Amino acid sequence: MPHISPERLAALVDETALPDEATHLAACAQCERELGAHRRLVRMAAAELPREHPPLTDWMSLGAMLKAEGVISAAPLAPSRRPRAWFVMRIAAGIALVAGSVVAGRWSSGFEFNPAPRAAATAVPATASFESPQAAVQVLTSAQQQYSDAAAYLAAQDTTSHFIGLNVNTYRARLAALDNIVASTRTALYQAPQDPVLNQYYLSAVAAREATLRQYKAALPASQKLERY
Amino acid sequence: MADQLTIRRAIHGDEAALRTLWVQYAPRIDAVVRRLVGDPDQAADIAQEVWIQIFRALPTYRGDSQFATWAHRIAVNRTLNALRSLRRIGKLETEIEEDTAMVEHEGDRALLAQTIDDAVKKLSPGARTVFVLHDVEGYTHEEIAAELGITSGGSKSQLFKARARLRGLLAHLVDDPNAQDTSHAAHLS
Repeated sequence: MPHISPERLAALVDETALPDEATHLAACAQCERELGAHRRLVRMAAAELPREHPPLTDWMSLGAMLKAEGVISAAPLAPSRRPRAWFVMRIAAGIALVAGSVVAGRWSSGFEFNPAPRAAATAVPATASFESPQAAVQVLTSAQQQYSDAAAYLAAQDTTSHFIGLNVNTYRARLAALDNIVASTRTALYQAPQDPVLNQYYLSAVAAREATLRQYKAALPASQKLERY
Repeated sequence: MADQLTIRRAIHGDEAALRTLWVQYAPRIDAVVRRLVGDPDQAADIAQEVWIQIFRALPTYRGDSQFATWAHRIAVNRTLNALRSLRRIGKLETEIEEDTAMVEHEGDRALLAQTIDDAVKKLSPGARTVFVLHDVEGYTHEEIAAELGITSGGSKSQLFKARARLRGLLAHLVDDPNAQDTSHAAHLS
């Protein structure tokens, strides 16, 4: 029998050899070797499947096309039926937590101003579990109220606003910078309202701005009064 | 695996959810498009069409198969349609020229491919499609026949010709290094 053709050898990777082909393969090292090469080729092809490459597409252009097609909703969705209320509640809770931390930090450390955003992050254990989202919201609301009460009490006791030689110009410059930070993080949050990093920066900036505003007012001469900033 | 909440949000047009699906599945989906198309520029254009088609069809996803499988089917189908419209898949039964199916000659040594991806690009579109679908993606000949509108016998014929061609192009990778270096083709002549 002549050698088995390349295409037939390729087929024999999947198919059973006919009796005369099997006889030939048993006797012909060359055809047997060729069949081995075909088997290795097929194994190599199968190994390609899980191999991943960088995507051919990029989200910037794909997202733009999906918006144009109307596949991406024009209005951002949120898990709640009242997304804005949910967003505002989260912000309000964060403000209370961070503001409380700010005041507590100032109270406990003397003249040091420290927005201490990490304190807010550790206020609720990361491992806490709740029976339902409603239960979590209830706990959050209760904690928010307690924090607000404590923050208000500490703020009322705070007498350190005159302290370390910072003057009106310093506070004004700081306020201007904080205004920019608040504005830019707020804009970013409208794009990504659930981003925890953006939320933390926004809330810290708001709290720092409020604290600076109080210090600024306290630093003004008695003859001047801050009407509006 | 895509979770149901992400898919539900994506169906309602939530950009973050759509992007999550894309991030998760683009490497796999784009890979099959790249293999089937060959040309990188055309592959990029077709991959974009594929994703738009997948997201348009999301409301029809019933969840009775894995999202990856469902999206993969759309990707293959859409890619083959795009290739047809580019007239890159014509008469599959006759497209492979006889000489491309032959095992390597000495002159082909210069054409050896570095990887299987490179080698597959050297196949004709019809042979490439059948080889990629069967040997890489795991389709059966019956499934390929249904996708391409050919017989399963035609699919087998294409596949075996493609393998024979690739065996030559990838000789340095598939030859047994311990074997004596003699040309099988020489024995055929």
